[in-house]
Amino acid sequence: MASLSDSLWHRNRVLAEAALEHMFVQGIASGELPRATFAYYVGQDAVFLDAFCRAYALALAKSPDREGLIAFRGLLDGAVDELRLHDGYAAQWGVDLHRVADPATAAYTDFLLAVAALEPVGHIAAAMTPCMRLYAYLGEQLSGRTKPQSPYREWVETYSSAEFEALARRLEVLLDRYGGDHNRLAVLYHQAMELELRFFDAAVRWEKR
Amino acid sequence: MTADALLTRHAAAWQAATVHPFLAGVRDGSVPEASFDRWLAQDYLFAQALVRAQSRVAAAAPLADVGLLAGGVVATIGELGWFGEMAARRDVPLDAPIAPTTRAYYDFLLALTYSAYPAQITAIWAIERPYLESWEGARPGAQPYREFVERWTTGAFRSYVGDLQAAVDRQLEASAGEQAREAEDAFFWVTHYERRFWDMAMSG
Repeated sequence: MASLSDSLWHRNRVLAEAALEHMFVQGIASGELPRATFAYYVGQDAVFLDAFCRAYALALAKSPDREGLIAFRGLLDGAVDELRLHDGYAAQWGVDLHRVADPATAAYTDFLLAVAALEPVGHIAAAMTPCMRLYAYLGEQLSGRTKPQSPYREWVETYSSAEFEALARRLEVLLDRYGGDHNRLAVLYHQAMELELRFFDAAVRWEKR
Repeated sequence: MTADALLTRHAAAWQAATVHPFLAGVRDGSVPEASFDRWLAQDYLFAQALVRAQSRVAAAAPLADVGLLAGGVVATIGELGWFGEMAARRDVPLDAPIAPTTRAYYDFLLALTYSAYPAQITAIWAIERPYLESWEGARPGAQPYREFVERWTTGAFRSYVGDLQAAVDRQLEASAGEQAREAEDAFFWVTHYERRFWDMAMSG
């Protein structure tokens, strides 16, 4: 039988494909994404990651056993590393890391913080997994197709790395272990996938403003 | 900082949240029934988040504000029942799927749990006060909608909003730095969502 995390991922494959085909993601691969759009995205992603770290910390605090405590600590470390990577990008791309959240970002961070504050640990894992699994998937899909001269290679390399895949897997293991109300888990997973797409939409919309 | 200072500082956002074609349409009867019913079904969903947020804010509030907030909880529960009656009368199903705007507003309210009390009470006030002003602007309301206008323009509702504002002022007076910034952010996001909520009703 497929694990819970596998079946949730497969039920949302259409959204994963939509993300892969998204103008933003395709622009990363071709290298044709405008620099200012990427810079805007990185600024919003830093706001997002701040909430993502806090959600991990709340999940850690709610872990019913030591394995959860240790696993969430590892995941939190990974997210903090990613946040540091953004500081590097910021210098490189001229990103304003203290930008306020745009509506798509706020919708996503509020979603994460509401689930993390109010729901049990398995539900928190369901709300957080799509981000990790989707980015691991995008990284894997893009790594062969990204042009060597794309200025965004480093981004692709980060998410196609074995380390990132291991983090995504680790979170899925937690989702499978703690589980919860299956209907609710499906809603949370799907909602997070949709919010991912809206996040890309917002970056592209900004470019057109 | 005071509650009134927030209104002044964000005058444009406030205006957008309280003066809207939807409300003008309620006043003169030109709002399409489908738009009104969409608003009704989504506001019913919103009120479910509001009552949970009110309860959580009340649970962590200074004792002096608990009664006020608990009164708000009871009022919102009453409102849910009243929405049920109105929906039945208008033949509006209340099991509509939650719209993205409602969902984002809903999560914003639940994530408030995560903020400090000044931001929480500011948000609760900022949710209620536009209702007073919005519906005031729709008075007396075209016939099919008049009962709705009347519900949020009563003296009791006005006095509840006034008490909330006094509670906000007590908090903001004592807040500085991060807490004041958080309260201002909360105010800004409420005005954003209020405006979007009317937009959603009009355009689906």
